[in-house]
This record gives sequence, C-alpha cells and structure tokens, in this order.
Amino acid sequence: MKYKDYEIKKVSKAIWEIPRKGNMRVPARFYALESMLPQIIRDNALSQVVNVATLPGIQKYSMAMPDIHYGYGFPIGGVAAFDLENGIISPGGVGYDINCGVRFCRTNLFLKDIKNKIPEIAQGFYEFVPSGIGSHGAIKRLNQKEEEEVMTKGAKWVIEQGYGEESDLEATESFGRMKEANPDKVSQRARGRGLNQVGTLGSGNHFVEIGVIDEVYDQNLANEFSLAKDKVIVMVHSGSRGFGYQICDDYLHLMVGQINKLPFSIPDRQLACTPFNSKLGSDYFQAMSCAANYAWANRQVLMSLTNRALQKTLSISKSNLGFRLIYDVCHNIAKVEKHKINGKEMDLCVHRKGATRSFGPHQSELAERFQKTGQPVIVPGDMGTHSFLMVGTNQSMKETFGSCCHGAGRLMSRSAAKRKFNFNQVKNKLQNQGIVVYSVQRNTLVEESPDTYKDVTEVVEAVSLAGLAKKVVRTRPLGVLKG
Amino acid sequence: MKYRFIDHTADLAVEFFGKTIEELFVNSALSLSEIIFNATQSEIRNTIGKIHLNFSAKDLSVLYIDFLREILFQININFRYFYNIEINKFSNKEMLINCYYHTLDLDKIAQEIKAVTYHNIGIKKEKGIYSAVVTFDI
Repeated sequence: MKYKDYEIKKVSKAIWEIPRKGNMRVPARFYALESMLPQIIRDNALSQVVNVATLPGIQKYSMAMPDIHYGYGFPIGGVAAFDLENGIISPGGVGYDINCGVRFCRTNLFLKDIKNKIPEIAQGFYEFVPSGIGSHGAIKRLNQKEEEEVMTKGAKWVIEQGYGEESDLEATESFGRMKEANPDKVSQRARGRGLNQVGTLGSGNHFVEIGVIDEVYDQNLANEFSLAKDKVIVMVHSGSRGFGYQICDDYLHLMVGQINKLPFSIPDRQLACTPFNSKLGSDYFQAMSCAANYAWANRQVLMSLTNRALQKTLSISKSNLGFRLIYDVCHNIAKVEKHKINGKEMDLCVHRKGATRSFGPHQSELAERFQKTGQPVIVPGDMGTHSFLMVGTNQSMKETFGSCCHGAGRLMSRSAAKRKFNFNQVKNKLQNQGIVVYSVQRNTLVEESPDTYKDVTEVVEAVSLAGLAKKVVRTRPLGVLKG
Repeated sequence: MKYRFIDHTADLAVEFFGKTIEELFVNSALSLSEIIFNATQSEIRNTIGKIHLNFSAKDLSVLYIDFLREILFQININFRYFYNIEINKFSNKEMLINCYYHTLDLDKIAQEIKAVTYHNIGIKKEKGIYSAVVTFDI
C-alpha cells in the first residue's frame, strides 16, 4: 500500500508502519483498522506523522492513534517521545489547549431514577456551569497570588477552596499537578487571560455530559470502579482556556524566532521546537506545566459545579448521589516519563497531542488504587454516540510509551459541516435519539454534529486489537451541555 | 475578493488576498474582524479608537503571522473591530502601523478564533495577486 511516495507496511491487524525514508530519523507507526485506512490516507494527516519523524532525539517511532486527523504541525492523535539530552520539546506537539482533557465520574443513580428528568438536568448544567465563548466567573476573579497558587498547586488549590475532595487527586493524572510549574515563566498576557476563567467550560468541543452505562465488557474491572449496567455517569471535557492558549502562542513565537539558529531544518514552522535541555526548552516546559495545573484546577471546579447542579436539580443529598471521580486524563501534554528503549530505562519527553496516557498495572506513577487495574482511560465519542471507559495495559508501555487514543477524531471540516447540516436538523436528530442538548452557540452544535466525527467504536476496536487499552464499559449520552 | 475559506478537518483555514503585500496585510486584519464578528464594517457603529503597533521579524512570512497574532489578541481581549489600518513603515522585516477600531462587546463575537498558527506559512504571488493561507485554531 502507498501513501504518496511512502510505503505503508502492515505490522499486524491494527498496526501500520511507514519505513524510514528521506529525512525521517525513525519510522512512522499508526494504529487503525484496515477499514479506516482510506479515510486516513485521504485526510493527509500521515504527512504530519512523517514530518514529526524528522525531529531530533525522537525515539522508536513517530506515532499516531486511530483517531488521527490533520492538525497543524503535529497531527491530532500524535505521540512522539524525545531523549532529554539530545531531543527537542515542541509546543506544537502539545497543542494550544494545554492539558485539554476529560474526566469520568460515577454516581449511585440508575437510569430509571432520572430518565424523565433529563431536560431539567441539562438545564441545571447550563445554569451552574459557565460555558461558551469568553465564559468567566465560576470562581471569583483571582488576584495575582491566587493565580500563582493555581499555577503551582493545580487541582489541590481549588479543593482547598471547597471544590471537591482531597481523594480526587489520586484519581487525577499526575495527581492534578506538575511540579515543574514555575509562574515566572508565564507572560503577563497569559496571566491576564487566566484571572477569571477558572471553572469555565469554554467552547468548541468542550462539554459536560450525563450518560448511562449500556454495556459492560469486563465485570471485574467494572466492579473495581463501582460501575454497572444502567448506572448513570458524568463526563467533563475542558482545558486551560485562554491562559494555556496564550502560553502556547508566546512560546511558539519565541521558538519560531530562533528557528534559524537550530542545527537542523524543520518541514513546518508549526513544528518549531528547541532542545529540551536549553533555557528556552526548560522555560516552555515550566510554563506549560503551569497551564496543565490550571486545566486540572479548571476541571476540578467544573466537576464540582456539575455535582452541585445534580444535587439541586434532583433534590438529592451529596451522599445519596454518590458522585465520585473515577479518573481524569489529559490529552494535550508533554511529560517527562521513564520508558525502556532497547532494554534500558530512559527519561523521555513524551508529547501527546490528542492522545491519552494509558499506563498499565504496577506503574509507580499511579495511585495505589490503580496498581492492580492500570489507569482508567476515557474515550469520549461525539455527542450522539457512545463513549468508552478503558484501562491501560503493559502492552501500551512497550508499544506506544503508554499512550492510546483520546476520542473519535474528526472526519469533516467545520465549514463542510455548516454547509451540510443546520442547527434544527442536528438538534432534532439528537432529540429523536432521546438526547437533550444545550448548546450556548448554535454554530457549535452544527460543527460538533455526530456525523462530523469518526466512528468511535472503530477507534476503540483498533486500540483494543493493538493491545493499547482494554474496554471496561460503554456509555451512551442522555444530556449534553456544549459551550 | 479579500478572503475565502478553505476546508480544514479540525480547524479553520482562510486564504487572504491583496494586490500588494501591504494590501494583503491590511485585508487580512480587516477580514479577521469581519469573520469573527460576522459583520461588514458598514454594519458597525460604535466607539472609535486608535492603536499604534510595531512588529519586527526575521522574514516576511513570520512578520505576517505575528501581525495577525497581535490583531487577534486585540480582537479577543478588547473586542476591537478593526476597520482601517495605516501603514507608516513597511519592509520584509518590520512594520509600523496605526490601527483604527470600533470597540464592541463579547456577545458580538460570532466565530471564535483562538489562535493564529504558523502552519505552512508563506506568501505567494500569482497572476499579480498576493495571497496567503492561514490556519487558525478554533
């Protein structure tokens, strides 16, 4: 099989490889069912996977998950790990929405408890959760000191302000905080943008969703997480808002300015990067960590507001509702992690852009409660179809630096969606499926229409087949708040 | 034609045009206001302001993107609808401009654009017209 001038080799049922050619330092590997290949090839995202393979210090492969689609610089669904001594760090390999991510929460409720109350629940989310363009106000406007506390302490700071429990931190990737954060590396512009956005949903593909478990694949794992068929769950998807965007923008600008000083060429300026162990690389990593912590604080507040919304709407006590965080994952991040390369353990800078960590059992970075199971992995589909809770595997540690997919991946551009669908069409279709949607922006509903995304079931099938994660339960949406 | 949309799977790509390089820059900034607020300049009547901006970069393409980045920041943070730009100094590596704007409100934003990327940047000239395709994160 061919992609432009490149050969595509089949490694196994769900693993494909583009051998090294030209300036590629390593092969490219992507994970997909064979049926997904024509669309992946048409989308041209593979050119971006190949481009990433040219960056210095890259280890093993330039990778892409089955939800791959064309982005800018790195593809969405891209994973690349770099040696800390000789490798680079790239803001484009993280994305503008630093630590955009999702959390999955369980409740004591069954579908029968709420099936006649979905519109009220969705309205409750709309009233409690600030959402939409420029949304602000969930937490009072921070002062400089408080903002620096958010940057350095992440989710822990907002817990101290009364949003959630200390135990939520164990169920959050990196325990809700990257210790490398240093506010001195964050610009005044970014700080200004972050002052009043903690606890806001934002817009685009961010959402709060109430759903129900409609299939259990692994009863033992479901029991471990107190999940069962017909149990009601909640998901929250958001990131670091304007704060993270500004940090990415600031550092991309600086790195683009230094491109001519690099001892290597890069095929796309959006891949602007710098040696990890340079001052600029270190500064970016410290600022990025501030944004990551901001996002964890943000999602912690959003989850807490959602919990309060449910209690109020359903007139139910906190203990009866039993709302509890199962896990929070990020899918736009760079982390320093230990991985084995040719049998030798190395510290690597792993970039995941539209990809999720999927650490298996007995990984020291995971809290005690996940040592036996591996970390939960959340794969939200589009608002009209299923989402999945999976767990990471030791196979993913060997294969993809402990990474897997993050969602469905887009099929269709937003412009094409607006040409093809209209607001009422999409809303009615969802209503006919029994799904209540509150969308702050009419355009968003159309742009995020289910038909614009890949089939998440295929994406999940591909990662399961490749051994990167294991299915636990499947959910379907009942009510959605979109920004 | 000042601009047209180009299909992009995840985000927004726009091709801007101008009869000269300077016109390309100006058209891009004014078109950005039009796209974000979904209104032509004739439809806007509001408080008027002026801001003086200057930029320098290693080459013209980066100058162009950095100019748009600043325009976007002013639109997103200060809700400024730019309707006129005077170029006081312009070269491949530097520009000094006066930008005239109306101040609008957050609720006038119709199309949110979150960032200007450097993806595949480059200014072309074809049949006497300058153009550039810019990919925006939305």
